[in-house]
Parts: sequence; C-alpha cells; structure tokens
Amino acid sequence: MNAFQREMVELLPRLRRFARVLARTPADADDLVQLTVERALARTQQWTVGTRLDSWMFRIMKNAWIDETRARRRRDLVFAPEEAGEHVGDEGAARVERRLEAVEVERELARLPEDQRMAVALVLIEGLSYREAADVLEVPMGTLTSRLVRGRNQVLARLAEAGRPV
Amino acid sequence: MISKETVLAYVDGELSHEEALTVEAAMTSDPALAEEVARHLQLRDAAGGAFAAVLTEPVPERLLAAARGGPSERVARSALVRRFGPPHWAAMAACLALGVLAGYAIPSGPVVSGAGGLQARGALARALDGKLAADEGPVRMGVSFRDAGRAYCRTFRMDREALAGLACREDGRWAVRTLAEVRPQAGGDYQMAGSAMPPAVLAAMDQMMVGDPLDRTEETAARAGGWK
Repeated sequence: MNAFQREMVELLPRLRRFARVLARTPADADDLVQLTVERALARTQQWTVGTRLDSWMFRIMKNAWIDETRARRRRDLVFAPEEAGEHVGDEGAARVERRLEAVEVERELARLPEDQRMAVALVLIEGLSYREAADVLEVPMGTLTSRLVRGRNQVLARLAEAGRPV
Repeated sequence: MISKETVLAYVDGELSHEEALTVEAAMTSDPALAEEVARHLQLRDAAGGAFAAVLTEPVPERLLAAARGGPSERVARSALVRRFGPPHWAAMAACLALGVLAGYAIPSGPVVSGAGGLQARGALARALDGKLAADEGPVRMGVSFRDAGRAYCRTFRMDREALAGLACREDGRWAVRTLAEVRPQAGGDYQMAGSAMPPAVLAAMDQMMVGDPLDRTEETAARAGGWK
C-alpha cells in the first residue's frame, strides 16, 4: 500500500458516514463509498499533493452520488424504503432517549432537499469550514450559507412540530 | 439586529473574534437570540451524534480491498489536517455562561448536565481527580482551594478546546461552576503562560476562595484523600 492508499483507508470511516447521509440505506451507502474509492484511485494524478484529501474525496463522492441518482431516475427505479434507525445497536436504557433524538434528527435530515442535506452534512457532521464545504459542493459561499440556513431552520421547525424540539 | 446567517456562522465558528463578541453582546440583552443560538448548537451536536456510530463500525472488507487495490507506490505527502475540536466550542461556552444550555448534555464533551448542574466527565474528570498544578497534559490544573463549604475547588484549562473553568467537589463528583473560552492573545496566540486564566474564571475563584490556595504538599494530600 502506498501513502495515498493508506490515507484513503484512514478516511473510510468518514467517507462511510457522509455516504450514510446521502444514501437511504447502509448498503447503498457502502456501494457509494466503493464507487468513490474506485474513482479516486483512477484519478490519483488529479489530486494536488498538499491539499486536503478528505475534501477532494467528498467532492468525488458528491459527484458520484449525483451521477448515480440521475442514472437511477433514468432507470425509473425507486429508492429502498427509509431505514433510519436501522443501525441502532444494543444500547443501555439510559441512552435510548438520546438515540431517539438522534433518529429523529436523522429522519428530518433525510427529508431535506439534496442540496441542503449535503451542505448541512459537510458542515455539521463532517466539521468542514464554509470555504471547504463550498469547494466540495462547487458552489459560491453565498449559496452554501443560504442552503445551511434553510436546511437547519427546516429541521428545527419540523422537530418542534413533532413536539421534540432539540 | 443579528441575521440568521450570522447566528449560524457564530455557531459554526466562522466569525472573527470581533464579530463573535458582537453576537455575544447581543445575546446578553436578547434572550430570544440566545435561545436561537442554543437551539442551533444542540442541533449541531445532535446531527453529529446521529451519525457518530458509523465511525466506530468495522469497515467492510470489500471497501478496504478497494482502497488498497490502487496503482503502485507513489509519493504522496499527508495533507489531512486534524481539526482541533469542534469549531463551536466558543459558542458553547458563551451559552453555558448565559445559562441557556441548562439541562443539556454535550455528547462526548468534557461536561454533562446532571441533577445538580454541569458535571465534569471523561478526560476533564480524570484530570481533576489526578493532576497536580504543574502537570503537563491536554487538561492542565491551575489553582486548588477550598470554598466556604470546605469543599475542594480547582481551576483548569483545556488548550485543545480553548476552554478554562472552575470545578468544585460535590457529592463525589466535580461540579463545573464556571466555563469560559480562552481568547487568543493579541497576535492570535493561544499559548498563554501555563496557568493564565480568563477573567471570568479568575473572578469566580476570587469570589469563592476561603483562605489561601493549596500548596503542592496540601494539593498532594487532598488528592490522596480523594478530595473529600
């Protein structure tokens, strides 16, 4: 394994996390990760040494996901049903409440339009700066911030409606 | 008037020091704004928590194989920048100071909200239990002293989170009385002298301390006695 591959292996958990936000099922998410890794390896030459590998790979994943969903729509396939909360593990009773909140937040994020969901995931879940997230999504900063505002206020409003304000 | 974009930029740690101060000043006189900030902080943490489990799951072998199955050896320098803690810690500290985060636990953070207020946990709790004033580490101790109820109190600094605070022994736990952001000094340098504390922590300490701070011998004895 070379250094590039080692870094990619290190990134796999985060790539899987971002994919979970994009795809509806864990299996679809891992397929997306695999596609991303394969594309990244085929384009190793395009990565500029000294820049962040995570941002670069998130961008590849974003584009792979857009290609994939377009292809799916063309094939007129429907998404698998939502399985939010499927990966709830065996947890103590004390953590159930927190897990419940997490599941609801996860569900509300899943209901957001794709562009808002990606912006929110990159900044809130992946911890990217606005500049980095705008680069990954290939949009101007103003577009990113307006997606962040709309997406987050939408989630908060729906959680409040459901009687579960965070 | 603080815009929604500015509220989120504050929560996400995107504002400059001066801009952040403007938001914090507005928060003190506008409870609705303070609550909005708190709600967005909680959403940020809940969203992170919702997907945190993925990170500790074993990575499927097929993905590892895909990542390893690339072109032959080439030189690539590591460009991964490890972030120093969530960018919203400063905002969290401001909300704690205003009391708008009461009843809320910060997942994986150094404090948890319990029946009696905020309590130290994890690395912070361990450091409060075991570290002496001069010890190195991610959590550093400042001054140890006794309060009016004869309980032991200690000031601490967490450089990674740029937070400092004061905790007192209460029912076998460390109750966090004060938590404040460590602001960069002029020139943007976070590395203040070892025991330097934000004014809010110093003020709390002055108010609570009865008698003199513990010296090294007294501190060692207090630790040996489990801070009782």
